Amino acid sequence: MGWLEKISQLDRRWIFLLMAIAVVVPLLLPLNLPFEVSAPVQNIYDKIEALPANSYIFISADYDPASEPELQPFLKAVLKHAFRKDLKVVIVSLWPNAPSLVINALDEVGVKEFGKVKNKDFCYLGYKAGAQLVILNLGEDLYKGASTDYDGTDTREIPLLKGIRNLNDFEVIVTISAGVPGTREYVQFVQARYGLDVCSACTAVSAPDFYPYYQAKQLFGLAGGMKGAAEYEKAIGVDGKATSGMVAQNFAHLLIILAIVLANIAYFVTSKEKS
Amino acid sequence: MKKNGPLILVIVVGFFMVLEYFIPHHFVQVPADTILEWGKVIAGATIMLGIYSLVHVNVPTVLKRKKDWQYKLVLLLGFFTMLILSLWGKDVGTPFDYVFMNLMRPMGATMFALLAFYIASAAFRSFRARSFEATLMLIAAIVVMLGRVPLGELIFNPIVGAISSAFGTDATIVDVMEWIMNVPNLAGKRAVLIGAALGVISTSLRIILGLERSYMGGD
Repeated sequence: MGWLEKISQLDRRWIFLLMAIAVVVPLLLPLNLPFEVSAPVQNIYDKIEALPANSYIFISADYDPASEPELQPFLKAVLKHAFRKDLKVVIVSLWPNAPSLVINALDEVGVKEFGKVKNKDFCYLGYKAGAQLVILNLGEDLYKGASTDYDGTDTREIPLLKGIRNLNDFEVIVTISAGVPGTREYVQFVQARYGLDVCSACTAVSAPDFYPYYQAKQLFGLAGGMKGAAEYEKAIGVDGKATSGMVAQNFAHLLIILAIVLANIAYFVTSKEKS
Repeated sequence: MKKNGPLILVIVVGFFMVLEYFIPHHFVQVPADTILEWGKVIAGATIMLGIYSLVHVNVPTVLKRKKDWQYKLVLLLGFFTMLILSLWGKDVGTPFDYVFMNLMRPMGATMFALLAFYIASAAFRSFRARSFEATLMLIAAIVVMLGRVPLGELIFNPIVGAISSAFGTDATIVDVMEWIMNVPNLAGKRAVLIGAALGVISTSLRIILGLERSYMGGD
């Protein structure tokens, strides 16, 4: 049996081992590879950067711990950007496992790093059940969509929300989405209906699904996966978790490409020999 | 009434939700807003129903030591532990937050991370250039993967740059990836989206008009 035939019949546990090495070892090395900020991510940065202080941005954090490594860095980066510019941030979640991730990000970035005050500079409405219905409600009347915040405070009593009626009062809507409900629902029920400025940070696997919305300008910006988050971190000049995570992703992608190329060479050579 | 009740409800709700989009008059808006409120209440009630179902299905299995009862016990313990811990609040630093961030979070991330191993194995075992179409897909996949990581840019930008300069352009691997995403991928996605949207519209109309009744368990 030639080495190519051996490769074509390689036990998948070897692939698992190589993948583990490709992911773990680069994380231990001080590698920092240069990359460019793509246009869809730059658009998000430019839009938020152009907002005057005290403008309102609305973030829908719709993900869970499974997609946290890809999406949490983007939430932190966009919070840093917003707080640095003294923007007012209102967040909601349509996924039940998102709240703990969001409050930790707000605590780390908002309270500890920028000294922002809850319900004065930012407000978290918590998880709201009802998916598309919540989006529709928020579009009509924010207080119907979210009558209380994460702590159970009446949203009409929150100082930050004084003067806010519905999603029309926000300059930018950022959806951080790992699936349904998420970006697609915001495009359908908010952008298409009210013509608001919506952008998306989504998992890498769902990014191709949202390119039609980006090209149709229904999304003014799109940050796909950890790369998108890393690009946003670069745009705001921060070395965050996404930037460091890209090192592992580099080698993981290269390993997959190498595996595909090797497997195809082995396939062609061995099938030629057989025929 | 057992059949006509749900049918009338669907027709009325569907009718108002469609009209609400086009007619900004209180005659339509007020009932539509009320329906949205009902929807939220129903969504909240389904969570209660889910909790009841979880307990109703799993508790007897554990008590009677049926197949896989151990897993169901872990599920129930996890559920009630989080429920009880939430009584002390859900803010940062509370026991609920501690358990979520140190158990639920790493376990969730671990489950998703396993995908990397399975994708690598699946790509190695089944991604073959057996036909022209498969070869195109394979090349596109490789270019997109390379364009998504800095190392891909670092290694392949000089190669892509050299090829593109021969054609009088100045492209990078990211440009090629963006082209794949913005042109062939977009065309395919749009075709699927428009097809699916037309299907949704026709099915929704059939449901609203009472022609499609399979959602009630009938034919």
